Amino acid sequence: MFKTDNNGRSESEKPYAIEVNGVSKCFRIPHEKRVTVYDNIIGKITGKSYTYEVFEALNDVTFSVKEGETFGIIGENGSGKSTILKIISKVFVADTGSVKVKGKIAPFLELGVGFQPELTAVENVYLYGAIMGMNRAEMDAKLDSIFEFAELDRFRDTKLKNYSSGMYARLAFATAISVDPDVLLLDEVLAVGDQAFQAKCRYKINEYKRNGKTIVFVSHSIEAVKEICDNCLMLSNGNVVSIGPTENVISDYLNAVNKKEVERLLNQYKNTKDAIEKDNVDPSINWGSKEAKIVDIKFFNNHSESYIFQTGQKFIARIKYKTNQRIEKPVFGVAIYKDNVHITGPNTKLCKMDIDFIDGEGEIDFIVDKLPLLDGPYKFSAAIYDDSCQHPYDHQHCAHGFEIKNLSAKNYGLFDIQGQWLSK
Amino acid sequence: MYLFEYSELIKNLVISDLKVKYQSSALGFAWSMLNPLLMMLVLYLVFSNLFKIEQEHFDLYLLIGIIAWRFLANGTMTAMTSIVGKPSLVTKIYIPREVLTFSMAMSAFISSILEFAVLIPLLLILGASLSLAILLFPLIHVLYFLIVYGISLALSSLYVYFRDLNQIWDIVLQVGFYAAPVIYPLSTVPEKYMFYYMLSPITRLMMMYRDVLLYGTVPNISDFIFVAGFGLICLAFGSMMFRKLSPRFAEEV
Repeated sequence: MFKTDNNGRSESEKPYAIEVNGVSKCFRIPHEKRVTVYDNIIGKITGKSYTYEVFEALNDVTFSVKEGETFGIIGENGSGKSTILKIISKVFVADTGSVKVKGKIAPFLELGVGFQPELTAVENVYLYGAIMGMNRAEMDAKLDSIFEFAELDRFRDTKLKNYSSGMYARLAFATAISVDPDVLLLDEVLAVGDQAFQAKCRYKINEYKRNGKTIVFVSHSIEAVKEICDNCLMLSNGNVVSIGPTENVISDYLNAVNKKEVERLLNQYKNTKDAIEKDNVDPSINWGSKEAKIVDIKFFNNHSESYIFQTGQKFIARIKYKTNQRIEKPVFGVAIYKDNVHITGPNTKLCKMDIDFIDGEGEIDFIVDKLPLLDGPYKFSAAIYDDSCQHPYDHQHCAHGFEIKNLSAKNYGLFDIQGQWLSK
Repeated sequence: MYLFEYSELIKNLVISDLKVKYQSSALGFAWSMLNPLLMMLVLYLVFSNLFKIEQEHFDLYLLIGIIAWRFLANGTMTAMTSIVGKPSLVTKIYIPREVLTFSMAMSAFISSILEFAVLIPLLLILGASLSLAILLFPLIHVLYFLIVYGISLALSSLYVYFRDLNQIWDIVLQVGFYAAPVIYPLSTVPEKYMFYYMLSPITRLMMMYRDVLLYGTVPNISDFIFVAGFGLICLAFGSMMFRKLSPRFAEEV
């Protein structure tokens, strides 16, 4: 069930660039705004004590990022993504826990930090360099390439207040990337600018990646994270919910985001199960002689229980059964339906997997390494038959379900048949 | 030490602050010089004609006092907003925040030097008795800077949490303006209060500036020790307060 690392051992021996250890952070949000001496004195006199809401932004967050790794942090709004980034960059100080960062760090929390509209573009570039701790000689060497990249050579000596917002963003980005850090912290920077600008950003980030820089990337965009991150951390209300290879974390994320959907699927199956138990079930859903019974069906991806899958992901259906007598040569079968179309219906007999007998309780897995189905809701049937495949012990027809949700459309229809195009 | 590590940034912040300060009006630097000169003129006319104050070179006496006072008043008032006034440098990136306060205090320091520089030809024209004692001016000014920077550290960090501090400090400064011998001769202070009066390091500073610039005399060594001691206490106290309050800056700004 664990994914082995393609790069083998050398990857795991790399030293850590960032180590975050048990970091917690609370923000105090006052009930009444009291930021003046006057208010404080009045508060003392009237006897209203200073009350505030404690907002726990991060709770015991621990993770580490290896040198040269691209690490993503995902989560909903207010989950603490930006807070952790600000703690790594020392803007915020953690209440408890420690953060260790090796090497020079460049936070891109916002473009154009420190830019002053009254100064010219060149002066602002020097100012930014100074903020990043570089001296004038170092910036002199970079000046030409910055303006070339930003395509603003003609406007070097224009005051920044006369720049358009697009020019401003281009200058800010060109200046920011000219710094040569060991660790790069990115907060949604990719979300600004037009298409061409974003492509440029992406290109530059990939260049950083190739040069073995460590990158921490915070984003709403699951797709962007999936594209560039090796490993990922998912936060929810300041807690680490999931951490590990990006693919796993993303499916956890999708399951969390689609929690209602998952709950609906589980509830539906539970109701069906209850009905079967009480024997007042619709005979078109469940039938059989019940010497052997299906007691539960669960779905898994490659590391955890899941009801939302992506095309190409691992899919495991785990069927739990129970018999009240020894059953010779049973045949297990499953089926997947979409909109009443029977898509597939494999069984153990056709797959040449002979089971001598079953007795008592047990489990059987149906495993698909790369699920080829495309977006949409699917229904799932499971059944136990005798060797002739004529006599049903238990058949649950379309009792359970799961969903395929891709981040972007891969194909149209039901299947991804993995075709290739060749231009002649 | 952050001051050396970030010297390039400090230089940049100081220069850009001075540029913004002096370029935003057509008269630029002249305008900032006009203010103390006009103030001197008004006070000179009022005091020498209405109150009949007899003080040698009262015009220069006033001007030195006003320029010296302006460093404290303008320096602390602008440096107080150094943290709150640059939110992006506090919330979007990490730099030692002292750098911001130091830069603003430094900018006021340089402005003050420029103002004193304009004063020098006036000293010659109006016939002050200059001597080599003027060489002590940089030392006095640096000691003064310690006081201004120390106070600024405390004010800028407190201002993050108390946004009406500028109004309170403005009143304190107005009281201080009259409590120090800026616009009246020391001789007008009654003898019995003199001991307490001289406990103020600002009073001593005012008189030290006049000693070296106007009378061409060397101030008492005890004055130097007194002022330097006070400067170091200000710096230590300011730094301590700043260090205690700075961890939550990014949340409060």
